[in-house]
Parts: sequence; C-alpha cells; structure tokens
Amino acid sequence: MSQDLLTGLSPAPAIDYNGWPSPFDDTGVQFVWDSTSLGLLKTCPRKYQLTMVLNWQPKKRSHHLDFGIYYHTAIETYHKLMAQYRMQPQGTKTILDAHEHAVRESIRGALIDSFGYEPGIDSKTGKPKTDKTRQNLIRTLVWYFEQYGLSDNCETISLRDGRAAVELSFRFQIDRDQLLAGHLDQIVRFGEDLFVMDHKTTSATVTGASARYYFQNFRPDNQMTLYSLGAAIAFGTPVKGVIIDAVQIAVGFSAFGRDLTHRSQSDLEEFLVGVYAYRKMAEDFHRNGFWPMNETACGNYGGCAFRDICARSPKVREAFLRTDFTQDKPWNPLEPR
Amino acid sequence: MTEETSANVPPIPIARPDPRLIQELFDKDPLELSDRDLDLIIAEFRADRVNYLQEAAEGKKTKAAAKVAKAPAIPVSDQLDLSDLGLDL
Repeated sequence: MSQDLLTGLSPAPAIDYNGWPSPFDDTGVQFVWDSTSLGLLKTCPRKYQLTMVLNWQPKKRSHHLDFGIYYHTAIETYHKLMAQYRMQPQGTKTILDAHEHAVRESIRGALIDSFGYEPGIDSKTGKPKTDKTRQNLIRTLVWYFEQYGLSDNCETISLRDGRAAVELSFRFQIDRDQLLAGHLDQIVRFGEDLFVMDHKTTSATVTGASARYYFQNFRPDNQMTLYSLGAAIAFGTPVKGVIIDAVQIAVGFSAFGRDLTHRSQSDLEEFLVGVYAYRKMAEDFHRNGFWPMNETACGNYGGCAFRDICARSPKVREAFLRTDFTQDKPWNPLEPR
Repeated sequence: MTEETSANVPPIPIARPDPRLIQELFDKDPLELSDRDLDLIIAEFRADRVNYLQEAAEGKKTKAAAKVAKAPAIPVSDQLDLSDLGLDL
C-alpha cells in the first residue's frame, strides 16, 4: 500500500462492515451521515479521515463510552419491561411488582455487561479513577429508577405495536443520494408535547444554579439538532426538542438533572444547509487527497485520541497507529444498534 | 425546565446488609447471582440514596442557618433612628 508522503498515511485496506452496506459511495465520499461522523468532520478533517476514511479506532475503547453504553442499555431494559407489563393483561401483578422486576432485571443485565470493566486511569496519580466505577454504575441505576421509575413526569410513549419508544434507529433522505441517520434514546411525552430524550453521564454539575453551564453546551449542538430533525422526519413525530436527561457521577453520589433544548424550523433548515456545505467540503478534501488538521481542536475534551499520532513526524505515524489503534472495528452510521 | 433531585425520603429506615457481602456479590460471576443477591444489592444502594438525601437536606439547613448567622451586621453608627427622619414628633 502506498504511503502518502505528506501525511504518512496509507489508504485503508478493504473494509468489512460486518454485513452492512458501506456509508461511502462509489466515488469514495460518505453519503450516509450521522452525528458522530458529521461531528468528526466539523471538529477536524484529519480526525475524520483517520476515523471514518481509514477506519483507525483505539484498540481499547474509552471507559466513558463503556460506562455510557451499560447505563443506556439498563435504562432501555427497564422501559422495555415496563412497556411489556402495560401490554399484558394486568392480572395479579401490580405496577410496583412490575417496577421491582424491571429494576432487578436491568441491574442484572448491567452487572453482566460490566463484568470485567475497568475504570479509566487518572493521569495525575496513575491510579484507577473512582467516579465511573462498576459499583457507581449500579448505584446510579438504582438511584435513577428510584427517582424516575414510578413517578416520572416524562412518560415514554409506546409505538403502534405496543413496544416502548426506546433506542430507535432512523434514516432519511435529504436529497437524491444523501442520507442522514442516527439513534434516539427515547421519545417521551412531557405535558402535552413530545420530546426526544437523550441520556448523558457526566462529571459536571447538573443540578442547582451551576447546571446551566453544562446544559448550555447543547444549544447549538450537532447531535441534538440532528435528533430533532430525525424525530420530525423519520418518525413523523412533531417533537418540540430534546430533553437532556443528565446524571452527574461523583465518587460519593449520583445527581440527576434535566433540561430542554428546543429547535425551531429555521434552526433545522440552517443545520441542513450546513450538512450540504460540510459534504461539499468532504468531497473537495477527498478529491485533493488531503484532509487538513484543525490544530485548535487537539485539546478539546481532555485531548484528541490521535493527538500523539499527529504530533509525530509523518514518517513514523503509521507505525505508532499500528501500536495503539486497529482497523478492525469501522464506524458505520448504517448499522442499527 | 431544569429539574433537580427531589428529597422524596421514605420514612422507614432500610436495614443495610454487611458491606463485605455487597463486595462479595460484586466480585461474583454475575450469571450466578440469584434474585435474592440482586435484591440485596438494590437495597444497599436504596439505603445509600436515603442517607445521601438526608445528609444533603441537613447540609442545606446548616448552610441556610450559617448564612443567616453570617449576615453582616449594620454598624451602629450607620443605623437610622427616628430622629433621622426629621419628623416633628
């Protein structure tokens, strides 16, 4: 494989998308976009190239991502079991029995999923971090179900077949050969209106006066605008916006806070125009064979995973990529979760 | 809509299992956990939440009391008395 002299990067080997179609068209430009791939391109074209075009992914998945997946899956399990209870004849089971059963099974699932999970390493002390631990995952879930399980003013809606509207994959055309795709955590009714609900785990404060510093990050926000658009177009659901259902995971407690983020019709239209502009940008970079770095983004959110690679001489980048990254797990917006 | 943790504390204290037992349950193969084991884990964290909310409520009360106590006193010389109003009493 020929290595690019300027960047030191070789083209990706033939990619196996695990049976799913490729999100790239015959010319090699991506035509199915989700918030992850679009966010990568917006953040740094080189990061997009490394992740989406060349398929380099860290060998060890981030513990934040693992923790978030366990948390999401357990909440999804809870809502599915509660929806099952509502679909069945009530019989002798009370809502409290159904809740207890759903909590127990969600916790069982989370314990199974997270068996062997290792929290991240504190870069200052070199010791395992003590906030996103396995015990704190279970604590957070138990507290979440206590807080919202039996008395939530956001009611998960049911789909026509009775299933809970949780973990919904969407995909829709924005022009002849372009698609947007994504996954919604949940659709809920709050008051008279429908909202997408998105679960977030964070170390930031999500309650009290300082919570606004956390929640203001979601407007504008690539992911939340795409979700609003997805719910409106793919599900024909006139959602008012997204409810961020956040939990602060601290060493000794978990605190829950929610906030609304609205998107108007004009917000959605402006976002779509942006998608076309970024798509055009990707076409140009692809045609020129050069994806520039955005050096101003290297330090965002604790530092880009590729920072150490980009910091090295182009001649040795590939060798370092092979040490800490793999090309076996490509990200595909078309793959349902 | 920012919504916060409600202090919905159940009135009856929950008996807590031995913390070593909880650690043992976490170390156990999760596929071998019985319903009873899971109920113990859940009860432990429910009790934890009750304690946390109680402590948080008490902390808020203490903070509020401290705020009242720390309210800066107006120096005597700056205080008004009726004569400052210039009323012909």
